[in-house]
Amino acid sequence: MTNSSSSKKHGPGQPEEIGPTLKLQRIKMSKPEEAEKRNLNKKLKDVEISIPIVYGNVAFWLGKKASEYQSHKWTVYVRGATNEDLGVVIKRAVFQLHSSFNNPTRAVESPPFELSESGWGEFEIAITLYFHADVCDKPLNLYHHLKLYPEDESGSMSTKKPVVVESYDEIVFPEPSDSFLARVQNHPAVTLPRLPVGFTLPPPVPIEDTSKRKRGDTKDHPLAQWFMNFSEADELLQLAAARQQTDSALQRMIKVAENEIV
Amino acid sequence: MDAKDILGIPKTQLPTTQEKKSRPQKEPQRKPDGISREVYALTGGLAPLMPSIDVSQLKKRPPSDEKITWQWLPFTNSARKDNLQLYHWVRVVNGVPPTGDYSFAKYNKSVDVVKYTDEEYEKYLTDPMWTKEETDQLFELCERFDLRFIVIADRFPSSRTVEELKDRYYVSRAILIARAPSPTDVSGHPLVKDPYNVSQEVERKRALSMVLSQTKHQERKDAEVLAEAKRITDSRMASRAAEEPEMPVASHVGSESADRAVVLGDTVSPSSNIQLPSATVVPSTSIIADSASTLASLRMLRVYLRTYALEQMVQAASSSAGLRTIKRVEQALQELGVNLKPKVPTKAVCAEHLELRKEILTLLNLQKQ
Repeated sequence: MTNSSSSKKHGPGQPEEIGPTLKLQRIKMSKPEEAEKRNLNKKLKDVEISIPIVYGNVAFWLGKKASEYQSHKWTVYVRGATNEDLGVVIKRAVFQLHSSFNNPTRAVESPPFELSESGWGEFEIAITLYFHADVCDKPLNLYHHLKLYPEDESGSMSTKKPVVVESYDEIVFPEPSDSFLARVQNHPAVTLPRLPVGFTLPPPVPIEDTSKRKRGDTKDHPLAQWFMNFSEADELLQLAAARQQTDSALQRMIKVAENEIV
Repeated sequence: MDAKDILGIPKTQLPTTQEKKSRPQKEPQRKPDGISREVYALTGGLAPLMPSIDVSQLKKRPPSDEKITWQWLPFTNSARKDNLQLYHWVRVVNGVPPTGDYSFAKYNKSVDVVKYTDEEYEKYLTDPMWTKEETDQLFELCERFDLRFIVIADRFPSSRTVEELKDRYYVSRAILIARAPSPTDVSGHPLVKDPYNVSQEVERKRALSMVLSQTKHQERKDAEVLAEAKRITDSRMASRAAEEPEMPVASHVGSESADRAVVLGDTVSPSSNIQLPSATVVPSTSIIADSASTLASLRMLRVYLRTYALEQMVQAASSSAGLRTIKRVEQALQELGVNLKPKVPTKAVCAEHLELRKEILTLLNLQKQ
């Protein structure tokens, strides 16, 4: 009823058929003009682009070759959660190291966004991500505490097995521009919700020939064998089970309350 | 002791004579050096607790070699136009009286009121509203009262408002410009730089008096209206934001947990999940409002991290809860085997986590009652 005056071009195909996230359109009431305006706005608002990333460090003990000030060789990085190329979104990553390092502000202009150094100390690294112009004009900050030494003190340090600490997060762009959407619509590094039918995007710009430039993805990265796996399935299961428990507790409470009232 | 003696016992003579006797005895003992007896008596006859000036210092002022006398002498004041001669005390040093003008003469400042000649009046200043007589009177009063227009308006023979008088006076600006050989010479003069705008002045004064005369009642009403307007705009924004995300989260989560229930082979039917939101919606309306405004503000950001968004939403949901309640929620989460901060914060995980927290909060609130 609200979509009669919408600007959607393709037939009566209403958004309600697509995906759970867009069911809400059916529920909207209000006057036709407002609905149309809202529909236009919603075209952009409903579509949120998220980039799953993993950032952290891998640190190797140098063993015999270790000196007092260079006991470990470490690499701090930001990678796609499935090791896809982040260069489609991120233009540059700036790693801010401890002031005791030479040129503590290290900028990495192309993927893979990583920085390797040697040292002995653990400190907080500020990672600033700068995006391409059509993506976002504001940078985003991440903070990672560099870990060199294993958790348990008794754990012997080996030159073969590194200390790895990674964090999973997602970069969210709540209102992406059309050009950004078009550029990344089929890119594996990017998560898009299903677009509503009739939502037309400009044709995607052909992705440049990747063989010509350096690989941006980290699938065959030398350190890839140490990367952690992040699966939401376990966490979802955990949460679902917890919610079941809470639900039943609440149900019991409500029953008790009802009985008391009666 | 003295009062009692004087009042109680009618023998008034005896106590005073007793006092007189005792006083001369005490005084020679206590006579101070350095300051005179009368001054010392001013302090109540007791030495001060903390002497501010070292007593030995006081007599040490070296006697100056000048001979100073004070004389009653006549003087004239250059600020006066008449030749009135008054007298005052003058400090005379070695028989030489001080020279120089009366020291207060320099404070006799006056305003330079523009004066026009008759020809100038004919040429520039004729005005239908004003007679030459009135204009002359005005200018004379201006001179006399140093451009204090309130006073001038009071004294003016015919009733004119202050603004009108000012306006007429400032017409002399025109004279200045006319007189000046070239416009640039005179552009620095304050009269030329800032022209007098009658209508603006009248408006300004009217508005000012309105503000000043606002009763307390009116002030309160204005404040109320402003607050109401703010509330309306806020709730409008919140309701716009609330309608959209509330629904998808609820329906999305509902279907998700229904799936999980089937997968786990649990006995709890999916219907219970749908039933629940209606039961819990009443206690959590305030939570929804907070979440809505947080969502709106998140949307304002061009880019943000999922973990940041979750943090904000958790904060908004717990805003009505005290610190102890929040700790209990976290305890409950740990008991259920859930990470306080999700290890894999995807959109779905964050939504579930948030919902779980809200449910625990509701449960705790209900348990408290």
